[in-house]
Amino acid sequence: MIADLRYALRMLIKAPAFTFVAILTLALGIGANSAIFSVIDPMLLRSLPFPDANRIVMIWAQTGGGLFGDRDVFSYPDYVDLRDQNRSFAKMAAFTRAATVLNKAEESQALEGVAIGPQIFDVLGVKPLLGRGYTSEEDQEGAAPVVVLTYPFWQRAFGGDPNIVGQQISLAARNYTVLGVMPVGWKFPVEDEHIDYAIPLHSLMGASAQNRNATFLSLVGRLQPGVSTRQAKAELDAISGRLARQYPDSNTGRETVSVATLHDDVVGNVRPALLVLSGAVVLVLLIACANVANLLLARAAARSREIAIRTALGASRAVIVRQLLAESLLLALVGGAAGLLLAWWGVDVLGTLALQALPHLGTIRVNPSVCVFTFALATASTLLFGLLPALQVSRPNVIETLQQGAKGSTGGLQSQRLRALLVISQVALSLLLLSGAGLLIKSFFNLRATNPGFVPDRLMTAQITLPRALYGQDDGKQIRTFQAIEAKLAAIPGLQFVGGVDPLPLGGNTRFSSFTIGGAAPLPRGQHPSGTRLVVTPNYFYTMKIPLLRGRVFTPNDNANSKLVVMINEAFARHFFPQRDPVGRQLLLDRPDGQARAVEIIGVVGNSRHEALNTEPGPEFYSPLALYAGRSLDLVLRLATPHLGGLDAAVRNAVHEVDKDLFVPQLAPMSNFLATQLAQPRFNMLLLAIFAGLAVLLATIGIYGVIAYSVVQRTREIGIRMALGAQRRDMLAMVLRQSLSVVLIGVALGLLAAFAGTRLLASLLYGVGANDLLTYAIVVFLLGAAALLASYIPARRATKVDPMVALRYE
Amino acid sequence: MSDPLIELKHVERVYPLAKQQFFYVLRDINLKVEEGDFVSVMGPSGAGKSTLLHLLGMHDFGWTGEYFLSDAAIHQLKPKERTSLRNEQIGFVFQNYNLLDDLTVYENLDIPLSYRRYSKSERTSLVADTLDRFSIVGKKDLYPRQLSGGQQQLVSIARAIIAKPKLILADEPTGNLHSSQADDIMQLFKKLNGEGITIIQVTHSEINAAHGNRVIQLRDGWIVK
Repeated sequence: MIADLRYALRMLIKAPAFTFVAILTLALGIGANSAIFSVIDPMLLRSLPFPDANRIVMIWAQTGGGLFGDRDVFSYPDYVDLRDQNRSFAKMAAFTRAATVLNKAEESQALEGVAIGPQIFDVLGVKPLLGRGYTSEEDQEGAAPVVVLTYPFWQRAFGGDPNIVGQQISLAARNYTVLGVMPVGWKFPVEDEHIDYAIPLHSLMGASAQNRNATFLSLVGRLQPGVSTRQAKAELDAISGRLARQYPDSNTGRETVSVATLHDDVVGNVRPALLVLSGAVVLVLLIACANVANLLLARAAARSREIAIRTALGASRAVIVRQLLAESLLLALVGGAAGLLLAWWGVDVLGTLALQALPHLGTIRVNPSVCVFTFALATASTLLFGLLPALQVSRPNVIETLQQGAKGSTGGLQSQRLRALLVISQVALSLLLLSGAGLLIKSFFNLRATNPGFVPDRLMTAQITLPRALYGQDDGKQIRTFQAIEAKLAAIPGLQFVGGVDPLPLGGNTRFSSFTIGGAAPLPRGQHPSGTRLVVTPNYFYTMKIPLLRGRVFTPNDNANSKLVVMINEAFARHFFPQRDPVGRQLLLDRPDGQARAVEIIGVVGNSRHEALNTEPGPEFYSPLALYAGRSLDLVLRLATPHLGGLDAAVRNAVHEVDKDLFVPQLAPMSNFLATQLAQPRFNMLLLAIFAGLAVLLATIGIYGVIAYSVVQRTREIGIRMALGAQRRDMLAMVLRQSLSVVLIGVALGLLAAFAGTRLLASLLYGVGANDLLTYAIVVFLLGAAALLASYIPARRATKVDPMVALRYE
Repeated sequence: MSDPLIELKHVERVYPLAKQQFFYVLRDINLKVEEGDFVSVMGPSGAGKSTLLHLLGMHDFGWTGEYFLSDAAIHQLKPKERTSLRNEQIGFVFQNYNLLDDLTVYENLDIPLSYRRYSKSERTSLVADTLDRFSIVGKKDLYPRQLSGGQQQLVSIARAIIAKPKLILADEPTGNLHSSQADDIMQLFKKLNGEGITIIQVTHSEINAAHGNRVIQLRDGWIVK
C-alpha cells in the first residue's frame, strides 16, 4: 500500500493541472461539509454540558395559542401543584428571565439573568465552583437578597476575585449577598448568549405567587431514572386535567402539557434549517465527486497503456483497482486538508452569521471533532468518486491496447455513457439546490419587504427600568417618573417625537390579556378570548407612525380620573367587530382577582407586527400608561434627521434630571430588532445560495469537461464531416445538441427532485410556496444559461477543426 | 519422449461480423512446442501471429479448441486459474518495450514480483541479481525515457525473466531497434534459451528467426509450415 501511495503521489505530481482541479473541487465539497459540521456539532450532535443531560426536560402548557404558539408558560400555583403531585421527576424548577443593573462606582452595567428556584442546581446537576447555591429558605418572600454569579460575569465584573463569596453587590440599587460562583460554561437558559446571574424566584414574584392567572414561568425538570418523556407527559397531563377541573376560571384550556428534552427544546426551531443545510452540503459534495470521477475517467484514457501493461505483467483487477484508489485516496486526503483550511476561514463568517440566528450552545469553530469528520469524509468520498472510474478502467483490452502502442482506447461507449450519466446527476442535483436557494431568497426578500406596521427608520429605543428598591409597588410614582422622563426627552433638540411602550414590538416579549366583549353572551372564564396587550404613552403612535384608522388616540387626559379607555388594532376590529364600528363599544378586561374592568374603545390603529415579522398580527389592544404602569418602559425616539450626534448623552442627562440613580442603556436603533428577525432567514438563505452557487459552478465545470473531451475524441469525425461539406455552424449545432440533450435530462430529473425535495423547506418559507413556478422558471433559465456557456466554448473549438490536419493526425 | 510444454489442438479464433458471418483469425491450429524450443512465428500482416501469441499468453479467452501448457488444460481453467498459471510460467517482451514510464528501471523490474506476492527481501535480492546479470546496475534509478531503445528492450527482457518463467513470449522484440541492437537482443534470447527457457517470438526478420531452432509460418490464420 505504501508503494501504491508513493506511486500515486508521483502520478499526481506529474499531472499538476489535473491534480490542482481535482483537489480544488474536493476542497470546496469537503470544506463546505466541514464548515456546516462545525455548526451542526455543537447544535445537534453534542449533548448539553450537564450530567445525564437527556434526563433534563422542558415542560410547557399546551394551549393552542399564546406566548410561544402552542407552548405556554405556567403560573406559580400551577408549578407548585405539578412539582408536588408528580412522581416522574426527581426535581423540577420554575424560572423566568430577569434583567437588572449592576451599580458600580465607576459605571453601571446592564445585566442579563434568571430568576429561578433553588431546585435548578439539582435539575442541572451542577454545583457552584465557589460557595454554594441558594436554599428553599432563601427563596421566600421577604428573605434577604442573595445572588449566584456565572463564571464569565465573575471574571468580567470582579476580575475573578476569589473572595467574592459573602460580599455584597448592588443590583438595581439593592444589596445582594453573593452566595456562589458557577463553573465555566454554566448558563441557564442555555440558549442565551450570556447570562450573568441567578437569583431566587421569589425575589421577582410579589403577588403573582398566589395568582393562577399570572402565567409567566417556564418549567425545567430532571426525570427520574428510567422515566421517559412520554410517561412524564402522561402524568403531568393527568395533573393538569385535575387542575383544570378544580380551577376552571384560570385553567380551562390548559389540560395538557408538552415535555421535550432540554436539547430538543432549544434546537427544535433551528433543526429543520440545519438539516436542510446539511443535506445541501452533501449534495455539493456529491456534485464535486461526480466532477472528479469525470476527470478520472477522462484521465483513464491516457493511462490505458499503463494499465494494460500492468495487467500483462500479472496484475489482477483488484491490484489495479487498489492502485487507482490509492491515487483517489491521496487526492481526497489533500482535498480534505485544503477543505479544512477553507472551513477554518469559513467558520468565522458562519460564526458571525449564526450569532443572531442560532442558539448559543457552543462555539462554532474547527475543533478536533471537525478534523476527524473531515478526515472520515475525505476517506469515504474516495469511494464515491474513485471506485466507479477504477472499476471502469481496470478491465482493459490488453491485446488491442498494447498493439496500438501508446494510443489509449478507454474512451469507449460505456465510459462516455458513464460520463454523461455523471453530468446528468450533477445538473439534477444543482437544480435541486438552486431551487431551494431560489425559494429561500424569495422568502427572505418577502420577509424583508414585510411592512412591520410602523416606520423603523430614524427610530431609536432604550429600556428604562425603575428599581424595585427605589420605587416598590408605587404605581403613581412610576407613572409620574415615566411621564417626566418622556417630557424631558421631548425637549431634546432634533427629536421629532418621543413615546413609550411596554413591551416593545419585536423585542422578544409579548403580553396577553383575556377579556370579553361588552354586551356579548357571557363565557366561562377559561374560554375568554385573549389578545396582545400593550401599554403606551399618548405620543407612541405618532412616534412609530402607526396610522389611526378610526376614532382618536390617547391624550394626557386619559388617566385614572377619567373614563377608562383602550385602543385596538385593525385585526382586533375585524375579528371581534366584523362589519361594525368598534369605536364606542365596551371591553370587559379580566383582572387577576376574577373581576372584570369595563373599558371603552376610543380608536382603531393600523396593524403592526409585535411577536415576529413573519407572524400575522393578531388582535391587540393598547392601554394608556397613565392607567397601567409597570416598572419597565421602552422609550421610542423619532429623530428629525438621520443622525443626531450626542443623543446618548442627551438622553442620559434628561433621564438623570428626573432620577440620577436610573440606569440608561445605550440607545439601540429600532432597525436592529428587525435585523434580528431577519437573522435566521438570512443565515439559511445565504448559506443555501452559496452552496447552490458552488453546485452550479461545479456542474458547469463538469459539463465543460465532458463536452471538451468529447470534441477532442471526435476530432477525426468532425474533420471528415467538414471535409464532406459540413459548415462550421453545423458543427456548433451538433456539439451543442449533444450537450443540451444531457442537460435537459438533468433538468427534467432535477425538477422532479425539486418538486419533491423543496417540501422540506416549507417550514422555512414566508410568502412563497414550495412549488413556486416563477422561481423554478428562473432557476431553469440560470442553469440552462450556465450549461450553454459551458458547452459553447468547446463547441466553438469544434468549429475550428482543420479537416486536413484532423485526418492526417489520425 | 516427454510431453510437450505447449500443445494446441484444433484451436480457432473467430470474430463475428454481420448476420451469420464470421472472420477467422486463426483456423484449426494444431501445434506442439517442446520445452527448450526457440520458435519463431512468421507471416504477413494480418496472418494471426500476434493473436496466436496473445492466445498462448492467455490474454485472449475467446478461442475454441484445446490448449495444454505444462500438462494443464488451459481450455478447462477458470480465468483466475489461467492468470495464476500465466504469472507462474510466462514472461512477455513487447515490440515497443512497454516499460512503465513513471517507474525507474529498478521499479519496473520489481513490478512482476510484487504481483506474484514475493516477499520484500526476495524481491530485493532477485532485482539485484537481475540488474547484475544484465549489467544494468548503474541504470537502476533511471526512468525509461532516459534509456536508449536497446537498453529499454534489455530492461524489458530482464523484467520478463525476473520471475523465472518457463516460457517467454516476444512480440517483434527487435521491431523498433537498429540491426546491431537487434543482434544483441537475439544473442541474449539465445543465451536464455540455452539456460532452458522456451522462447516463442513473432518476427518479420529472417535473420532473427535464424537464431531459433524452429519457424512456424502463418497465412490467413492457417499454419502453412
